[in-house]
Amino acid sequence: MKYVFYPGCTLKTAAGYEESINATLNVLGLSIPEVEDWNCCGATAYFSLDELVALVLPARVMAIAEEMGAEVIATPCNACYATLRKARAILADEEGLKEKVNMALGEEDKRYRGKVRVRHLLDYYLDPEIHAQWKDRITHPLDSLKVAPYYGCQYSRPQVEDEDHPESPRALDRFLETLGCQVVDFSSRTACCGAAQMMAHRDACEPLVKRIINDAKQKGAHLIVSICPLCQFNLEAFQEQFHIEEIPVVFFTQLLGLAMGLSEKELGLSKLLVPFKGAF
Amino acid sequence: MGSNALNTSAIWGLKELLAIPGGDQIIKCIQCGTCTGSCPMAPVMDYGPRRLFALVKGGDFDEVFSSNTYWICASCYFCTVRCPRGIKITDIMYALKRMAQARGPQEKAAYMYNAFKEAVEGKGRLSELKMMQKYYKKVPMDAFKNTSLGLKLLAKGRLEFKVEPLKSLEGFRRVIEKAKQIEGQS
Repeated sequence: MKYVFYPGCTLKTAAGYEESINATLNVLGLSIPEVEDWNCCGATAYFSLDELVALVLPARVMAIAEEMGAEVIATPCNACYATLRKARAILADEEGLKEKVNMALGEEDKRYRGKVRVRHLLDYYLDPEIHAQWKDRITHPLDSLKVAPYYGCQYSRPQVEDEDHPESPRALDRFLETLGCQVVDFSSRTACCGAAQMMAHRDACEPLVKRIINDAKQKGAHLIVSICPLCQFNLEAFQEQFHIEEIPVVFFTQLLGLAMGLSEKELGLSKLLVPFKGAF
Repeated sequence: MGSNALNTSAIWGLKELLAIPGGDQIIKCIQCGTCTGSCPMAPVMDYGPRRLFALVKGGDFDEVFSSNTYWICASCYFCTVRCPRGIKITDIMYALKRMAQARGPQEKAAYMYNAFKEAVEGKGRLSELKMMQKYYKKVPMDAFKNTSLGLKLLAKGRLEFKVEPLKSLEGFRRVIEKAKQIEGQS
C-alpha cells in the first residue's frame, strides 16, 4: 500500500506528537513521504462559511496525493481526517460539485479524481503490513500502565465509508493492548471535548472535558491516550481549572516509542503541560 | 406566528435550506428529541436541535437566525449518527451557519471561523497565533482569560511564531478566488 503523509497545520505545536511519529518510524526504518506543498484542510471553519471552498481545500490535498501516485493518505489529526473523507464522500455523490471543484483546481493545473483513500495515522500503524514490522519490537511492554483510550468525535463520526463503530470504536484499544497496556473500559471514548468551540465557548466546553477526565480517573487510568492534536490540547490544558489531581494526556505514538525503548526526550514528553512523570 | 406563518423570510429560508444536499431531509423530522438528548452543547443553546427544527418546519426563520443554536454546534456528529430518520443534522447546522452570514447578528463562533479563514488565506496553512490575534481583536475579553495558558505553552515551545507559506501560494490563492467566483455565480 503506497501511503503519503498529510500532517495538518496543528501537528507542529502538538506536544511531542511529531517527534514521536518521526522517532518511531525512524527505528522501524519506515518513512512516509509528505503531501507536497499541502494546504490547510479547512476543518469545521470552511463548512461553516463557504461550501465550495470547504470542498476545494481538501480536494487540492487529495489531488496532490494522487499526482504523487499515492493509494492512501494518512493523517494524524481527527479534524483533517474527517474533513478529507467527508469531502471525498460528497464529491463522489455530487458530480456537479466535483466539476466546480475541478474548475477551481484548474487554476493550478490540478485535478481531483477521487482515487486516493484516506486513513487516520492510527490505522496506518495498524495496517497488517506495518503492524508486522513493529509488533516484535516491543522490548519494554507497558504492562503496569492503565490507560483510557480517547478517540474523540471525528475518528469515527461522521460515518461516510467504512469507519470503526461510531460510538464505540476499538482500533486504539487494540493498538494499546499490543503495547501491553491495561486498557480501561472507558465510556467517554468518543465523548466530545468541545473541539474548536473551546475558543469561543470555553464555559460550555469545560464541563465536557471535566466529564471525560473524571471518567478516566474513576476507571483507575494513569493516562489518557489521544490520537488528535486538538483533543489532546483540550483535555490537557484546562484540567487546572477543576482543582482535581491532574492526569497526563499523551499521544498513542509516544506510548509506542516508550514500548520500543525510546527515551522520554526523543518522544517529546517534556512538552506536556501535565507532566508524564509520576503518572504511574 | 399565526397568520404570519408564511412570510417572505420563511419562504426564502426554507427554499435555501431545501436546496442544500440533504437539506430536504428536515421534512422527515418526527420531533423525537434524540438529537437534543445527544447534544453536548445543548445546555448553552437557546434552543436544542429538536426545537430549532420545529421552528424551521414552522417557517419562523427570524427566530431560527436570532438563536445561537447552529453557531454553537461543535460538529461532534452524535445527533447525525443517532437520528432515527437519518437526517444529517450537523450538515444542516453548517448550512444554517452559511445562511446566517448574510443576515442576523454575528455570534462569537462566527468571529472564530472568520479568524481561522483569514489566517489560512494568508499563507495557505493555519497559524494558530494569527488566528488568535484576529479573534481576540473582535473579542478582547477572551484574550485575558487565556493569558496564563499562553505563557505556559510558550515556555513549552508549543507556540509557533513562523508558519512557512505555501511554495505555490499565488496558485493556491487563484484556486480559492476561482472557487469563490464560481460559488458567487451559482
